[in-house]
Amino acid sequence: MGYTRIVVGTDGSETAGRAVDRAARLAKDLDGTLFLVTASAPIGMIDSVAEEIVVAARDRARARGVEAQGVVQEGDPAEVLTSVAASKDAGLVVVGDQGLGKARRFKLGGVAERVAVMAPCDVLIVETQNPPEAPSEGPVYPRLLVGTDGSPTATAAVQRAYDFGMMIGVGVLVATVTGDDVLAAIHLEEAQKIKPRALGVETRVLRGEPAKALVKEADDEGCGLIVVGNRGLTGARRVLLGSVPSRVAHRADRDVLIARTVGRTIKDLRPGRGGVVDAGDGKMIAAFLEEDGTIRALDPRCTHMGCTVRFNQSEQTWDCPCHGSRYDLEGEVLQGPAKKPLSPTKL
Amino acid sequence: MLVAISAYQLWFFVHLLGVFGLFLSHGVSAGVALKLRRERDPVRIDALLQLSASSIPAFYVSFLVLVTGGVVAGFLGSWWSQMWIWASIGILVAILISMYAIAGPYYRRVRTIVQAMARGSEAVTAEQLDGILRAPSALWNAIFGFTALLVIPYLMVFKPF
Repeated sequence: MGYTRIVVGTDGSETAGRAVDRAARLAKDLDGTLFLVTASAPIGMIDSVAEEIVVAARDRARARGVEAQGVVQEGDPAEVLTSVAASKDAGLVVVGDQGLGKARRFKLGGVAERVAVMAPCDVLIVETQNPPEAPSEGPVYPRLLVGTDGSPTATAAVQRAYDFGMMIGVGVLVATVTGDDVLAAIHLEEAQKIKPRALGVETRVLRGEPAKALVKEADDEGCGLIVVGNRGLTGARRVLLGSVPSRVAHRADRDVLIARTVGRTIKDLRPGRGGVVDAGDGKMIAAFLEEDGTIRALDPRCTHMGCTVRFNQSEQTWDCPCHGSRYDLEGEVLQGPAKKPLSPTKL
Repeated sequence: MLVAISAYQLWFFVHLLGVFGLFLSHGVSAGVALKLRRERDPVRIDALLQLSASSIPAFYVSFLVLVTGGVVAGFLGSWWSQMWIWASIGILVAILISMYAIAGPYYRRVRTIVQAMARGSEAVTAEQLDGILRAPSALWNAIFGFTALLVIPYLMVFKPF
């Protein structure tokens, strides 16, 4: 992961301008390239107006010491942003939180929410109504908060928070929200295991409704950014039950980073790590990225009953969550009930 | 020699096959539930839970056969006006809800814990594991399950109301 290519959407409004400010600050701090994107057609905007918006945003970024590239593209704003993010190979899309406010919290289809669902990379939703004061000197966020429930996707979000904390040089607060002290201890122990040595990490066990507890903790502990995975942002579960990431984005009065931990592609893998990723055309593979950059690709379906395996980082194995079959990096069976190895697959 | 059988007998036979399969497959889980109360080795507990989980697909198939056979036989035998069949269904639904709401989360929790312990976790002590495995909820779930499995055949055979 790297946020060296950042895409930010703007429609010329003051709130979108705050998102541009935040994106410019990140681009400056991370020595990244910034792309300012405006969608022209759906709001009836003529091209010259779109160009003016981009020029104004570019001036705004320049005032913060960043030379940005402008992109004007016709289409639906969320689709334009995600398509530009893909074409520019962006690591981060930045959007304002307009449409996520309490009055509109049940309105599906807001640009920020749709970008969070569709983006091919991480998405930073910037609080634009009452943003906490970002320090002009030093790190853009004083501290990060990330939630975990011990699942592989939550662990990936924790990893992403650690990476981001290392990038901007701030500590990370890892929180788990559960009434079960034993599981809490396991979740936090797992999070500690993958912690970079140089990073300051604190842990908390919180009670109550997860989104509410995470937002309150971020407020109490002065964390300027909440990091969550994107699990539950798509599919029927989101519509029927909502999801913790979505609820955090709606509730938070600070920035929220939605880490793309589900629907990852091969480029999201880091050396020495594996995961079930989209190989293109919706084909999912179990991929492991070697230190030398070579990829071992396997069919992710467990040969026992067809469940999708998960990568076990600490053991460096592929584990089936259904019946406990385990495979090594070559796909050979380490533990049944599966008897046949995972099939190698072509990229 | 072939014996002429009615459609009702055929579907009742299918229903009994489902019952037999369900006892056979879920008996594994019931046995594991009882064994877990004495086992304290995380690796062995994980293996037992895997064994139990491996019987679940057969349980679902048996359950589907049981329900299909029972519903068709219920229509062919014109039993739907009698209370015993509704009572049986009510008990079956109650036990399914109980298993889903209590047994499922309990065994997922145990599995998470023993897998973490097997990986060398220091977050859980042997005393904590002991307490979890002695939890009354698992025992009550097993008692409820066994009781239901006695009451349902009683209702079906004696048709008391």
